[in-house]
Amino acid sequence: MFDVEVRDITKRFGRVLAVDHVSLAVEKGRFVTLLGPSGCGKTTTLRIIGGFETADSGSVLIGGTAADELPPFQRDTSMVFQDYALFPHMTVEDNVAFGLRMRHLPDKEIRQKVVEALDLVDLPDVGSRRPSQLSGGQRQRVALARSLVIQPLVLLLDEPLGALDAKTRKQMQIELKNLQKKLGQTFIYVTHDQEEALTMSDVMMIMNAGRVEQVGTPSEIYERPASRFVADFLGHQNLIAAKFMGLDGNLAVVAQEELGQLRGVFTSGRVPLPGSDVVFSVRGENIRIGAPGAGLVDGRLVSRVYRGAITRNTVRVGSLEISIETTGPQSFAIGDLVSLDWQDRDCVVIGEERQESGG
Amino acid sequence: MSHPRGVRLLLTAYVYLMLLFLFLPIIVTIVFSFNLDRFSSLPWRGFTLTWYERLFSNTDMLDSLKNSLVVGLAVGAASVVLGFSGAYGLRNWNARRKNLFMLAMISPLAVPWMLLGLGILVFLNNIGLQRSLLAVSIGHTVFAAPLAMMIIDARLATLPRSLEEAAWDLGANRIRAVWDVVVPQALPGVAAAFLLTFTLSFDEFIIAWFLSGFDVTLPVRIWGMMRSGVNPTLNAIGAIVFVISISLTALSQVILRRKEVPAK
Amino acid sequence: MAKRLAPNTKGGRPVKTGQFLRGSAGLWLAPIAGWQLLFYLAPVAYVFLSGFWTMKDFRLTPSWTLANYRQILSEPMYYRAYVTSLGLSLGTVALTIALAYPLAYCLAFIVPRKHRPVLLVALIAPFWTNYLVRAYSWQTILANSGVLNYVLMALGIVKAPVEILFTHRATTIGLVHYLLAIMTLNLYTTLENIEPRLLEASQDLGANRLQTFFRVTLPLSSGGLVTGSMFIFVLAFADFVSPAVLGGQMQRVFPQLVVDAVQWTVNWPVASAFAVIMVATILLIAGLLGRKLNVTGGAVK
Repeated sequence: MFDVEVRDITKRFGRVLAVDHVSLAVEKGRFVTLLGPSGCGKTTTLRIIGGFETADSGSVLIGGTAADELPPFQRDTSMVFQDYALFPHMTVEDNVAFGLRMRHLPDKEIRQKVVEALDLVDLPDVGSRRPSQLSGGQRQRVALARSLVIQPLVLLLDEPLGALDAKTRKQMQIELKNLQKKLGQTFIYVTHDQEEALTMSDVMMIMNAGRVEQVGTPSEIYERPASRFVADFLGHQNLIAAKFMGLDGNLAVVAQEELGQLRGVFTSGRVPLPGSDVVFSVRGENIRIGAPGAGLVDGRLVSRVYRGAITRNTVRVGSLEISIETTGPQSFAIGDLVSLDWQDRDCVVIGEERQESGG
Repeated sequence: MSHPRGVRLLLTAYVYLMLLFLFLPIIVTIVFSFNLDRFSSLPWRGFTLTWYERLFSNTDMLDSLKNSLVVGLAVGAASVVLGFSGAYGLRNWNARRKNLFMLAMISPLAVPWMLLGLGILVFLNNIGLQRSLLAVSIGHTVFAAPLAMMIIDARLATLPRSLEEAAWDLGANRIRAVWDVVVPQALPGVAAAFLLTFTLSFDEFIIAWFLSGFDVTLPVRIWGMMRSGVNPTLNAIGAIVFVISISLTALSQVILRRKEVPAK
Repeated sequence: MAKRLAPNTKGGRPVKTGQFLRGSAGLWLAPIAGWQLLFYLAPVAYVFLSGFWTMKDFRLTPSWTLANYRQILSEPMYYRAYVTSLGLSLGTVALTIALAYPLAYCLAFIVPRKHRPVLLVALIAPFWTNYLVRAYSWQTILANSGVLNYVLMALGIVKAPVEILFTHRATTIGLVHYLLAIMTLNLYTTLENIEPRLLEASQDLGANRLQTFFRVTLPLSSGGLVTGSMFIFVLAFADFVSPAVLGGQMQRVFPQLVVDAVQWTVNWPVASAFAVIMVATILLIAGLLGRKLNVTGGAVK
């Protein structure tokens, strides 16, 4: 039995189709992330699970039971809101205790649980302060404690790290992941930041314009994007239009005007007809720059951008601009002729038709 | 657009002149409430507290003051309850529908109160209610409740929806969430609305005149005194009334303008 | 943490999510809507209806007659009162505009921004005080032996006291004093909302400040002028306090007739008929003013 099951839900706001036949099954103890650009429907899906919106069609099951008719206060979920939603007129203690009070627990037990919860998020001394006296990171933790203390079946998180500065964000990502693992708590996490999703998730679901693009583990999604959108969203730079030729073993063979015949792993479901348009992708970090003639294709190094840990090089091959990521010092200068080399297994061939892969 | 210095000085002086004009009756009343002379005029004859003393021994006056206070409190309480309920109910409405409703509710403030007074008098009589302080309270609430609703609505607009959702999420049903989260946040608006509606009711004359029975409110008593000739205690009671109104109005502004540190 | 805490599923009526989220606005709005229906709409309807009824043995009886209106329309004194009221209110509107416009203009364009809130509150404060006592205070100020005349004579501006009290002039002063804040606030808001760029553009195109005022600012503020005037007219026409306290008993005003009908003759139907005529006049004038607004139109951006 899944902790949360979303079955084919659809939601319209006026004329806008926010969620378009979305399905999802979340196993216990997993960190599941809904990833996508703004407006893709990830937050709406989360809110439908939490009971803050109703789906026009489809159903939601929480803990195996149908939850469609249950208002938020009767669902076994808890949400950490994007703006934390801490009650300003209550102390931190009272905030954390709120859910426990609603469940009519004895005062003594409430006090103890509050202390434990604040300890868990590493804020043992702020109990008597007001939210306005805390920093952004601290408020975030209080919101977390408040939701965790009632031990929900599933914790829903709506871009909780969005308002934090970069350093705090990175720190909190690690802490959140550790906390999740330690508690074995099921998380459904919404973000638009793909790095964040890759770092923290057990399972990722990429969404675009209300539809599910791909569901899988971080490495599956990153290394084998099933659609152009996913590849693009995850930062794959070299998405090259090509024509499908056929299959060679378990590799797809494509033909590209300037690069000739290429091979890569086919990621989408249905095999297209020969001659169809597909997208060939090779990731910048998997390409090696060498002396002219030593690789698969030759080109000219036209630009180089230093980015600290990596350097992004652009090599022009015919009309194509290929992006390569390298580390360390470079032996080639801008304007030099160079060659590019890569492994077939590091390449991906994506069918133009967006595939719906199952969860 | 900038203006030449002369124009600026002239107009600014005009503003202060107008302010003087607006405050003149208030100042005159307060000043002459201490004047020895029976006739409120210059030259100044001397300082005295006689008129205030006479006021406090005038039982009719004190009774009507008490009546006005009771009515004011009742009107304030009723308006705030009706106003909060209305403002909360409007939260989910789109702007157009909300504005239409507000306009309808607020129309009593734009209608001559003589019409309200007469209408309620006739209507209440027909259903068997006599002129009384209760009738006055009912009449005042007609224009006070929408005002309270407007003020509280403005305050509720600053309340993020996520606060209520968080309360629901944690297990509170709607009533609980309203009581534990919405009301405390709306409190400055509620307090300001109470003060302003109290003041309006306390000072209101026309509706009170139509609907007062044997027990009259203070303004109606003052009206009676005014008909019977010069009475310097009028200045004293006038001064007291002015001070009360201005203090409460100022207090409500302070409450409303106090910036809350946002929770985010 | 040992056992899990189930959410509170007991207690209260079961409610579906969709219904819960929509929030039953009707229930929350019912109290105030009900109150207004019962104590505002019904009474106003009663006023309108009872104008056609009569008073028999101190009871209101639905006789459905035009007798009341005939009685009113046949009495010349009532006509005089009507005209007096009309004149007073229109005069009040004119004077209020004249005094409020420079005030609002200065507040909107000249007074530095940080001073504005305080000044605005100061302007509104007197409006929230007791109107009756203010009128009485004007009585003492404007009397022949009052403060104003004392100052005027002491400064040598006049030799004998100026007769203001118990004339229309005094009534108008009382009304203007009462209503100035409304017009000022209304105009201020309108002026404040004028795009500064429009004024800059006007000057840019060669208009001097005076021309800018008459060709740009004034027309753009016509909306505020008209709504303010409607408000002022409504309140001035229906007011009997200032006329009674400051105007003396010599010249009656129309609203006073309503009061007299209620107070002396306990003839509520007649009072209602007066009130209806009063409201009809107000609606007519307000409607005309509103038409004027549509005719002159707002600015074309």
